[in-house]
Amino acid sequence: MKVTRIIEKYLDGTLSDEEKKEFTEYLEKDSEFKELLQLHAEANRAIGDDAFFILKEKLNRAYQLYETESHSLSEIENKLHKGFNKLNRRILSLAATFLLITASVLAWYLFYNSDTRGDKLFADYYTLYDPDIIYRSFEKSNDTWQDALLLYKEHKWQLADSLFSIILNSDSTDTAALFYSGITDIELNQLERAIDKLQKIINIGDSGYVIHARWYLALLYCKQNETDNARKMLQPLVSENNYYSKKVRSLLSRL
Amino acid sequence: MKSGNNYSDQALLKGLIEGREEILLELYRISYKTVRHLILSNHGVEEDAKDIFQDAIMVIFQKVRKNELQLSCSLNTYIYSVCRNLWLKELSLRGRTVYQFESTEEITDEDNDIELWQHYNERISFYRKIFEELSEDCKRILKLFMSGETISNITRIMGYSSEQHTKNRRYRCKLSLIQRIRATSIYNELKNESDEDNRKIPGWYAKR
Repeated sequence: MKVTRIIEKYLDGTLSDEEKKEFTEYLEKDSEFKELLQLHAEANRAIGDDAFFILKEKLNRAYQLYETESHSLSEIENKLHKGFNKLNRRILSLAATFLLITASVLAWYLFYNSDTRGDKLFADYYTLYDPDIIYRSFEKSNDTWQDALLLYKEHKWQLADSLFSIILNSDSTDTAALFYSGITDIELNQLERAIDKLQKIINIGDSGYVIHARWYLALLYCKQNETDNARKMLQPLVSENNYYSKKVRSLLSRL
Repeated sequence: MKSGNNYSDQALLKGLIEGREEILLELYRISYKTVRHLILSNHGVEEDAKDIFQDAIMVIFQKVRKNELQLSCSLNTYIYSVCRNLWLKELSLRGRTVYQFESTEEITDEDNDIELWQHYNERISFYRKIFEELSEDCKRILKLFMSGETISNITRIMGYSSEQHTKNRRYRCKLSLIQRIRATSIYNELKNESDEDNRKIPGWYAKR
Protein backbone atom coordinates (compact mmCIF):
# COMPACT_ATOMS: atom_id res chain seq x y z
CA MET A 1 0.00 0.00 0.00
CA LYS A 2 2.86 2.35 0.83
CA VAL A 3 4.51 1.75 -2.53
CA THR A 4 1.18 2.21 -4.32
CA ARG A 5 0.64 5.48 -2.50
CA ILE A 6 4.08 6.87 -3.34
CA ILE A 7 3.84 5.84 -7.00
CA GLU A 8 0.38 7.34 -7.41
CA LYS A 9 1.48 10.55 -5.77
CA TYR A 10 4.48 10.65 -8.09
CA LEU A 11 2.23 10.15 -11.11
CA ASP A 12 -0.10 12.87 -9.79
CA GLY A 13 2.88 15.18 -9.25
CA THR A 14 2.04 15.65 -5.58
CA LEU A 15 5.08 14.16 -3.80
CA SER A 16 6.42 16.16 -0.87
CA ASP A 17 10.20 16.76 -0.62
CA GLU A 18 10.48 13.96 1.93
CA GLU A 19 8.53 11.60 -0.32
CA LYS A 20 10.67 12.54 -3.32
CA LYS A 21 13.74 11.32 -1.44
CA GLU A 22 11.93 8.12 -0.55
CA PHE A 23 10.86 7.70 -4.17
CA THR A 24 14.46 8.08 -5.39
CA GLU A 25 15.64 5.51 -2.85
CA TYR A 26 13.04 3.04 -4.05
CA LEU A 27 14.14 3.58 -7.64
CA GLU A 28 17.77 2.98 -6.75
CA LYS A 29 17.38 0.06 -4.38
CA ASP A 30 14.20 -1.80 -5.27
CA SER A 31 14.58 -3.68 -8.54
CA GLU A 32 10.83 -4.24 -8.85
CA PHE A 33 9.96 -0.61 -8.29
CA LYS A 34 10.65 0.51 -11.86
CA GLU A 35 8.43 -2.24 -13.21
CA LEU A 36 5.67 -1.24 -10.80
CA LEU A 37 6.01 2.39 -11.79
CA GLN A 38 5.52 1.54 -15.46
CA LEU A 39 2.63 -0.76 -14.63
CA HIS A 40 0.87 1.93 -12.57
CA ALA A 41 1.35 4.53 -15.29
CA GLU A 42 0.04 2.26 -18.02
CA ALA A 43 -2.86 1.06 -15.90
CA ASN A 44 -3.83 4.71 -15.43
CA ARG A 45 -3.84 5.18 -19.18
CA ALA A 46 -5.91 2.03 -19.58
CA ILE A 47 -8.45 3.45 -17.13
CA GLY A 48 -8.57 6.94 -18.61
CA ASP A 49 -8.19 6.42 -22.35
CA ASP A 50 -11.84 5.97 -23.35
CA ALA A 51 -11.21 7.21 -26.89
CA PHE A 52 -8.93 4.22 -27.53
CA PHE A 53 -11.44 1.64 -26.35
CA ILE A 54 -14.41 3.28 -28.04
CA LEU A 55 -12.47 3.25 -31.32
CA LYS A 56 -11.78 -0.48 -30.90
CA GLU A 57 -15.51 -1.15 -30.56
CA LYS A 58 -16.26 1.03 -33.57
CA LEU A 59 -13.66 -0.80 -35.62
CA ASN A 60 -15.41 -4.07 -34.86
CA ARG A 61 -18.71 -2.64 -36.01
CA ALA A 62 -17.10 -1.27 -39.18
CA TYR A 63 -15.66 -4.71 -39.89
CA GLN A 64 -19.06 -6.35 -39.52
CA LEU A 65 -20.61 -3.77 -41.82
CA TYR A 66 -17.83 -4.23 -44.36
CA GLU A 67 -18.24 -8.02 -44.28
CA THR A 68 -22.01 -7.78 -44.77
CA GLU A 69 -21.51 -5.42 -47.68
CA SER A 70 -18.84 -7.63 -49.30
CA HIS A 71 -20.82 -10.85 -48.91
CA SER A 72 -24.00 -9.35 -50.34
CA LEU A 73 -22.10 -8.09 -53.37
CA SER A 74 -20.28 -11.34 -54.05
CA GLU A 75 -23.47 -13.40 -53.70
CA ILE A 76 -25.25 -11.32 -56.29
CA GLU A 77 -22.22 -11.38 -58.58
CA ASN A 78 -22.14 -15.18 -58.38
CA LYS A 79 -25.82 -15.55 -59.15
CA LEU A 80 -25.60 -13.20 -62.10
CA HIS A 81 -22.43 -14.87 -63.34
CA LYS A 82 -24.08 -18.32 -63.39
CA GLY A 83 -27.00 -16.97 -65.34
CA PHE A 84 -24.80 -15.47 -68.00
CA ASN A 85 -22.48 -18.44 -68.49
CA LYS A 86 -24.28 -19.70 -71.57
CA LEU A 87 -24.21 -16.47 -73.49
CA ASN A 88 -21.60 -15.61 -76.08
CA ARG A 89 -18.56 -13.46 -75.40
CA ARG A 90 -20.09 -10.24 -76.65
CA ILE A 91 -23.11 -10.65 -74.45
CA LEU A 92 -20.86 -11.63 -71.57
CA SER A 93 -18.94 -8.44 -72.02
CA LEU A 94 -22.18 -6.48 -71.88
CA ALA A 95 -23.20 -8.54 -68.88
CA ALA A 96 -19.95 -7.74 -67.13
CA THR A 97 -20.62 -4.05 -67.64
CA PHE A 98 -24.13 -4.53 -66.37
CA LEU A 99 -22.81 -6.48 -63.39
CA LEU A 100 -20.37 -3.76 -62.55
CA ILE A 101 -23.10 -1.14 -62.67
CA THR A 102 -25.43 -3.35 -60.65
CA ALA A 103 -22.72 -3.96 -58.06
CA SER A 104 -21.97 -0.25 -57.83
CA VAL A 105 -25.64 0.58 -57.45
CA LEU A 106 -25.99 -2.16 -54.87
CA ALA A 107 -22.92 -0.92 -53.03
CA TRP A 108 -24.42 2.55 -53.07
CA TYR A 109 -27.75 1.12 -51.92
CA LEU A 110 -26.14 -0.86 -49.13
CA PHE A 111 -24.12 2.10 -48.03
CA TYR A 112 -26.89 4.65 -47.98
CA ASN A 113 -29.84 2.43 -47.28
CA SER A 114 -28.67 -0.09 -44.72
CA ASP A 115 -26.62 0.60 -41.64
CA THR A 116 -25.35 3.96 -42.79
CA ARG A 117 -28.91 4.97 -43.62
CA GLY A 118 -29.77 4.26 -40.00
CA ASP A 119 -26.80 6.31 -38.91
CA LYS A 120 -27.87 9.14 -41.20
CA LEU A 121 -31.42 9.13 -39.91
CA PHE A 122 -30.10 9.21 -36.38
CA ALA A 123 -27.74 12.07 -37.21
CA ASP A 124 -30.50 14.02 -38.95
CA TYR A 125 -32.93 13.85 -36.06
CA TYR A 126 -30.87 13.45 -32.91
CA THR A 127 -30.41 16.53 -30.79
CA LEU A 128 -29.22 16.55 -27.22
CA TYR A 129 -32.05 16.93 -24.73
CA ASP A 130 -32.01 20.30 -22.98
CA PRO A 131 -32.39 19.62 -19.24
CA ASP A 132 -33.68 23.05 -18.22
CA ILE A 133 -37.39 22.33 -18.63
CA ILE A 134 -37.37 19.00 -16.85
CA TYR A 135 -35.08 20.24 -14.15
CA ARG A 136 -37.44 23.07 -13.23
CA SER A 137 -40.59 21.07 -13.45
CA PHE A 138 -39.44 18.24 -11.27
CA GLU A 139 -37.68 20.41 -8.74
CA LYS A 140 -35.04 17.87 -7.95
CA SER A 141 -33.06 19.75 -5.43
CA ASN A 142 -30.57 17.40 -3.84
CA ASP A 143 -26.84 17.88 -4.42
CA THR A 144 -26.28 14.78 -6.46
CA TRP A 145 -29.05 15.75 -8.86
CA GLN A 146 -27.76 19.28 -9.22
CA ASP A 147 -24.23 18.04 -9.82
CA ALA A 148 -25.38 15.40 -12.28
CA LEU A 149 -27.39 17.90 -14.32
CA LEU A 150 -24.56 20.40 -14.24
CA LEU A 151 -22.17 17.78 -15.58
CA TYR A 152 -24.77 16.82 -18.19
CA LYS A 153 -25.05 20.44 -19.31
CA GLU A 154 -21.27 20.71 -19.47
CA HIS A 155 -21.14 17.51 -21.54
CA LYS A 156 -18.90 15.80 -18.99
CA TRP A 157 -20.46 12.49 -19.86
CA GLN A 158 -18.25 10.12 -17.92
CA LEU A 159 -18.73 12.03 -14.68
CA ALA A 160 -22.43 12.58 -15.29
CA ASP A 161 -22.76 8.86 -15.85
CA SER A 162 -21.17 8.19 -12.44
CA LEU A 163 -23.66 10.45 -10.70
CA PHE A 164 -26.72 9.12 -12.49
CA SER A 165 -25.56 5.63 -11.54
CA ILE A 166 -25.47 6.66 -7.90
CA ILE A 167 -29.02 8.02 -8.13
CA LEU A 168 -30.21 4.87 -9.88
CA ASN A 169 -28.48 2.66 -7.31
CA SER A 170 -30.68 4.16 -4.63
CA ASP A 171 -33.85 4.11 -6.79
CA SER A 172 -33.74 2.10 -9.97
CA THR A 173 -37.20 3.33 -10.99
CA ASP A 174 -36.37 7.03 -10.92
CA THR A 175 -37.56 7.85 -14.44
CA ALA A 176 -35.78 11.22 -14.54
CA ALA A 177 -32.46 9.56 -13.70
CA LEU A 178 -33.18 6.76 -16.14
CA PHE A 179 -33.86 9.29 -18.88
CA TYR A 180 -30.78 11.46 -18.38
CA SER A 181 -28.63 8.44 -17.79
CA GLY A 182 -29.96 7.00 -21.06
CA ILE A 183 -29.11 10.17 -22.99
CA THR A 184 -25.69 10.17 -21.33
CA ASP A 185 -25.21 6.59 -22.52
CA ILE A 186 -26.02 7.69 -26.07
CA GLU A 187 -23.34 10.36 -25.82
CA LEU A 188 -20.92 7.72 -24.54
CA ASN A 189 -21.94 5.46 -27.42
CA GLN A 190 -23.28 2.85 -24.98
CA LEU A 191 -26.34 2.27 -27.10
CA GLU A 192 -27.54 -1.02 -25.59
CA ARG A 193 -27.43 0.49 -22.13
CA ALA A 194 -29.37 3.50 -23.38
CA ILE A 195 -32.01 1.27 -24.96
CA ASP A 196 -32.48 -0.67 -21.70
CA LYS A 197 -32.98 2.50 -19.68
CA LEU A 198 -35.35 4.19 -22.12
CA GLN A 199 -37.38 1.00 -22.46
CA LYS A 200 -37.61 0.81 -18.68
CA ILE A 201 -39.14 4.29 -18.56
CA ILE A 202 -41.81 3.17 -21.02
CA ASN A 203 -42.44 -0.01 -19.03
CA ILE A 204 -42.84 1.97 -15.82
CA GLY A 205 -45.20 4.39 -17.62
CA ASP A 206 -47.04 7.19 -15.87
CA SER A 207 -44.22 9.70 -16.22
CA GLY A 208 -43.52 12.86 -18.17
CA TYR A 209 -40.50 11.13 -19.63
CA VAL A 210 -42.39 8.47 -21.58
CA ILE A 211 -42.84 10.67 -24.67
CA HIS A 212 -39.16 11.66 -24.63
CA ALA A 213 -38.08 8.08 -24.03
CA ARG A 214 -40.17 6.93 -27.01
CA TRP A 215 -38.60 9.52 -29.28
CA TYR A 216 -35.01 8.76 -28.35
CA LEU A 217 -35.63 5.03 -28.33
CA ALA A 218 -37.06 5.29 -31.85
CA LEU A 219 -33.92 7.13 -32.96
CA LEU A 220 -31.74 4.42 -31.45
CA TYR A 221 -33.73 1.76 -33.27
CA CYS A 222 -33.29 3.75 -36.49
CA LYS A 223 -29.55 3.81 -35.87
CA GLN A 224 -29.57 0.05 -35.45
CA ASN A 225 -31.74 -0.39 -38.56
CA GLU A 226 -34.58 -1.89 -36.54
CA THR A 227 -37.17 -0.04 -38.55
CA ASP A 228 -40.20 -1.96 -37.25
CA ASN A 229 -39.27 -1.27 -33.65
CA ALA A 230 -38.70 2.39 -34.50
CA ARG A 231 -42.18 2.60 -36.06
CA LYS A 232 -43.75 0.96 -33.01
CA MET A 233 -42.12 3.53 -30.78
CA LEU A 234 -43.26 6.44 -32.94
CA GLN A 235 -46.87 5.39 -33.63
CA PRO A 236 -48.29 6.51 -30.25
CA LEU A 237 -46.61 9.89 -30.74
CA VAL A 238 -48.29 10.58 -34.10
CA SER A 239 -51.81 10.94 -32.79
CA GLU A 240 -50.81 13.09 -29.84
CA ASN A 241 -50.17 16.76 -30.27
CA ASN A 242 -46.81 17.03 -28.58
CA TYR A 243 -43.37 18.52 -28.95
CA TYR A 244 -42.26 15.73 -31.26
CA SER A 245 -45.37 15.46 -33.51
CA LYS A 246 -43.87 17.22 -36.51
CA LYS A 247 -40.54 15.44 -36.25
CA VAL A 248 -42.30 12.10 -35.78
CA ARG A 249 -44.32 12.52 -38.98
CA SER A 250 -41.19 13.53 -40.87
CA LEU A 251 -39.18 10.59 -39.52
CA LEU A 252 -41.97 8.09 -40.21
CA SER A 253 -42.14 9.25 -43.81
CA ARG A 254 -38.46 8.38 -44.20
CA LEU A 255 -38.63 4.92 -42.62
CA MET B 1 -2.52 12.63 -51.07
CA LYS B 2 -5.61 10.66 -52.07
CA SER B 3 -6.11 6.93 -51.57
CA GLY B 4 -8.31 6.37 -54.60
CA ASN B 5 -11.47 7.15 -52.67
CA ASN B 6 -13.68 10.06 -51.80
CA TYR B 7 -11.54 11.22 -48.90
CA SER B 8 -8.02 12.62 -48.83
CA ASP B 9 -5.55 10.80 -46.59
CA GLN B 10 -5.59 13.74 -44.21
CA ALA B 11 -9.39 13.56 -44.01
CA LEU B 12 -9.19 9.83 -43.31
CA LEU B 13 -6.65 10.34 -40.52
CA LYS B 14 -8.73 13.15 -39.04
CA GLY B 15 -11.82 10.96 -39.17
CA LEU B 16 -9.90 8.14 -37.54
CA ILE B 17 -8.92 10.33 -34.61
CA GLU B 18 -12.52 11.51 -34.30
CA GLY B 19 -13.73 7.91 -34.42
CA ARG B 20 -16.12 8.60 -37.31
CA GLU B 21 -17.72 5.29 -38.26
CA GLU B 22 -18.09 6.10 -41.97
CA ILE B 23 -14.35 6.75 -42.11
CA LEU B 24 -13.56 3.44 -40.42
CA LEU B 25 -15.75 1.69 -42.99
CA GLU B 26 -13.92 3.57 -45.75
CA LEU B 27 -10.58 2.37 -44.38
CA TYR B 28 -11.84 -1.20 -44.70
CA ARG B 29 -13.01 -0.52 -48.24
CA ILE B 30 -9.71 0.92 -49.44
CA SER B 31 -7.26 -1.37 -47.64
CA TYR B 32 -8.73 -4.54 -46.20
CA LYS B 33 -8.92 -6.58 -49.39
CA THR B 34 -5.16 -6.45 -50.06
CA VAL B 35 -4.29 -7.02 -46.41
CA ARG B 36 -6.61 -10.02 -46.29
CA HIS B 37 -5.02 -11.43 -49.45
CA LEU B 38 -1.55 -10.95 -47.99
CA ILE B 39 -2.40 -12.80 -44.81
CA LEU B 40 -4.44 -15.61 -46.35
CA SER B 41 -1.57 -16.20 -48.80
CA ASN B 42 0.88 -16.51 -45.92
CA HIS B 43 -0.43 -19.12 -43.49
CA GLY B 44 -3.12 -16.87 -42.06
CA VAL B 45 -6.87 -17.28 -41.67
CA GLU B 46 -9.75 -14.78 -41.77
CA GLU B 47 -9.49 -14.11 -38.04
CA ASP B 48 -5.78 -13.28 -38.39
CA ALA B 49 -6.56 -10.81 -41.19
CA LYS B 50 -9.23 -9.16 -39.07
CA ASP B 51 -6.95 -8.92 -36.01
CA ILE B 52 -3.87 -7.69 -37.87
CA PHE B 53 -5.87 -5.04 -39.71
CA GLN B 54 -7.43 -3.76 -36.50
CA ASP B 55 -4.08 -3.83 -34.68
CA ALA B 56 -2.58 -1.78 -37.51
CA ILE B 57 -5.36 0.80 -37.39
CA MET B 58 -4.99 1.12 -33.61
CA VAL B 59 -1.23 1.61 -33.99
CA ILE B 60 -1.83 4.30 -36.62
CA PHE B 61 -4.40 5.91 -34.32
CA GLN B 62 -1.82 6.13 -31.52
CA LYS B 63 0.86 7.52 -33.82
CA VAL B 64 -1.46 10.18 -35.26
CA ARG B 65 -2.57 11.16 -31.76
CA LYS B 66 1.08 11.63 -30.78
CA ASN B 67 1.85 13.56 -33.97
CA GLU B 68 4.34 10.84 -34.86
CA LEU B 69 2.97 9.98 -38.28
CA GLN B 70 4.55 11.63 -41.31
CA LEU B 71 3.22 9.89 -44.41
CA SER B 72 5.75 9.54 -47.21
CA CYS B 73 3.40 7.30 -49.21
CA SER B 74 -0.36 6.94 -49.57
CA LEU B 75 -2.30 5.97 -46.46
CA ASN B 76 -3.42 2.79 -48.23
CA THR B 77 0.21 1.78 -48.79
CA TYR B 78 1.11 2.71 -45.26
CA ILE B 79 -1.68 0.59 -43.78
CA TYR B 80 -0.55 -2.32 -45.95
CA SER B 81 3.04 -1.87 -44.79
CA VAL B 82 2.08 -1.75 -41.12
CA CYS B 83 -0.02 -4.90 -41.54
CA ARG B 84 2.82 -6.61 -43.36
CA ASN B 85 5.26 -5.76 -40.55
CA LEU B 86 2.87 -6.96 -37.88
CA TRP B 87 2.09 -10.15 -39.75
CA LEU B 88 5.80 -10.88 -40.36
CA LYS B 89 6.40 -10.54 -36.64
CA GLU B 90 3.45 -12.76 -35.83
CA LEU B 91 4.66 -15.40 -38.29
CA SER B 92 8.12 -15.41 -36.78
CA LEU B 93 6.53 -15.94 -33.36
CA ARG B 94 4.62 -18.86 -34.83
CA GLY B 95 7.83 -20.19 -36.42
CA ARG B 96 6.51 -19.95 -39.97
CA THR B 97 8.28 -18.90 -43.15
CA VAL B 98 6.90 -16.40 -45.57
CA TYR B 99 6.59 -17.06 -49.27
CA GLN B 100 4.44 -14.39 -50.85
CA PHE B 101 4.80 -10.77 -49.95
CA GLU B 102 3.84 -8.19 -52.50
CA SER B 103 6.33 -5.48 -53.18
CA THR B 104 5.36 -2.17 -51.65
CA GLU B 105 6.92 1.09 -50.61
CA GLU B 106 9.15 0.58 -47.62
CA ILE B 107 8.32 2.00 -44.26
CA THR B 108 10.84 4.59 -43.18
CA ASP B 109 13.27 4.10 -40.30
CA GLU B 110 11.34 6.20 -37.83
CA ASP B 111 8.49 3.71 -38.11
CA ASN B 112 10.40 1.06 -36.22
CA ASP B 113 8.17 1.73 -33.27
CA ILE B 114 5.12 0.09 -34.88
CA GLU B 115 5.71 -3.11 -32.96
CA LEU B 116 6.31 -1.15 -29.76
CA TRP B 117 3.00 0.63 -30.17
CA GLN B 118 1.30 -2.68 -30.79
CA HIS B 119 2.77 -4.11 -27.59
CA TYR B 120 1.70 -1.02 -25.71
CA ASN B 121 -1.84 -1.35 -27.11
CA GLU B 122 -1.91 -5.00 -26.07
CA ARG B 123 -0.88 -4.09 -22.55
CA ILE B 124 -3.42 -1.34 -22.00
CA SER B 125 -6.16 -3.50 -23.53
CA PHE B 126 -5.32 -6.25 -21.09
CA TYR B 127 -5.16 -3.86 -18.13
CA ARG B 128 -8.53 -2.39 -19.13
CA LYS B 129 -10.02 -5.89 -19.19
CA ILE B 130 -8.82 -6.53 -15.64
CA PHE B 131 -10.03 -3.06 -14.60
CA GLU B 132 -13.53 -3.96 -15.83
CA GLU B 133 -13.51 -6.88 -13.37
CA LEU B 134 -13.15 -4.58 -10.33
CA SER B 135 -16.14 -3.66 -8.18
CA GLU B 136 -18.40 -0.88 -9.51
CA ASP B 137 -17.27 1.34 -6.64
CA CYS B 138 -13.59 0.86 -7.44
CA LYS B 139 -14.12 1.42 -11.14
CA ARG B 140 -16.03 4.61 -10.48
CA ILE B 141 -13.51 6.13 -8.10
CA LEU B 142 -10.54 5.30 -10.30
CA LYS B 143 -12.33 6.72 -13.33
CA LEU B 144 -13.13 9.91 -11.47
CA PHE B 145 -9.50 10.34 -10.48
CA MET B 146 -8.32 9.74 -14.03
CA SER B 147 -10.79 12.30 -15.36
CA GLY B 148 -9.02 14.95 -13.27
CA GLU B 149 -11.92 15.58 -10.90
CA THR B 150 -10.93 17.26 -7.63
CA ILE B 151 -10.67 15.17 -4.48
CA SER B 152 -13.42 17.18 -2.80
CA ASN B 153 -15.79 16.59 -5.68
CA ILE B 154 -14.96 12.90 -5.79
CA THR B 155 -15.61 12.62 -2.06
CA ARG B 156 -19.01 14.22 -2.55
CA ILE B 157 -19.86 12.20 -5.64
CA MET B 158 -18.91 8.93 -3.99
CA GLY B 159 -20.69 9.86 -0.76
CA TYR B 160 -17.60 9.24 1.38
CA SER B 161 -17.14 10.74 4.81
CA SER B 162 -13.77 12.43 4.26
CA GLU B 163 -11.18 13.23 1.63
CA GLN B 164 -8.70 11.02 3.46
CA HIS B 165 -11.10 8.11 3.14
CA THR B 166 -11.42 8.85 -0.60
CA LYS B 167 -7.64 8.83 -1.03
CA ASN B 168 -7.28 5.56 0.90
CA ARG B 169 -10.09 3.97 -1.08
CA ARG B 170 -8.43 5.04 -4.32
CA TYR B 171 -5.08 3.54 -3.29
CA ARG B 172 -6.74 0.28 -2.18
CA CYS B 173 -8.60 0.01 -5.51
CA LYS B 174 -5.46 0.74 -7.48
CA LEU B 175 -3.49 -1.77 -5.44
CA SER B 176 -6.19 -4.36 -6.08
CA LEU B 177 -5.99 -3.69 -9.82
CA ILE B 178 -2.19 -3.95 -9.86
CA GLN B 179 -2.23 -7.17 -7.83
CA ARG B 180 -4.81 -8.75 -10.12
CA ILE B 181 -2.80 -7.83 -13.20
CA ARG B 182 0.46 -9.15 -11.76
CA ALA B 183 -1.18 -12.40 -10.71
CA THR B 184 -1.88 -13.37 -14.32
CA SER B 185 0.47 -15.32 -16.54
CA ILE B 186 -0.31 -13.00 -19.47
CA TYR B 187 1.22 -10.13 -17.54
CA ASN B 188 4.62 -11.83 -17.46
CA GLU B 189 4.52 -12.29 -21.23
CA LEU B 190 3.54 -8.67 -21.76
CA LYS B 191 6.19 -7.51 -19.31
CA ASN B 192 8.90 -9.45 -21.12
CA GLU B 193 7.87 -7.81 -24.40
CA SER B 194 7.93 -4.43 -22.71
CA ASP B 195 11.42 -5.02 -21.25
CA GLU B 196 12.61 -6.04 -24.67
CA ASP B 197 11.08 -2.92 -26.22
CA ASN B 198 12.75 -0.69 -23.65
CA ARG B 199 16.07 -2.30 -24.44
CA LYS B 200 15.58 -1.93 -28.19
CA ILE B 201 14.63 1.74 -28.17
CA PRO B 202 15.74 3.37 -24.91
CA GLY B 203 13.53 6.31 -24.02
CA TRP B 204 10.61 5.10 -26.12
CA TYR B 205 8.57 4.53 -23.01
CA ALA B 206 8.98 8.16 -21.95
CA LYS B 207 7.63 9.34 -25.31
CA ARG B 208 4.17 8.11 -24.48
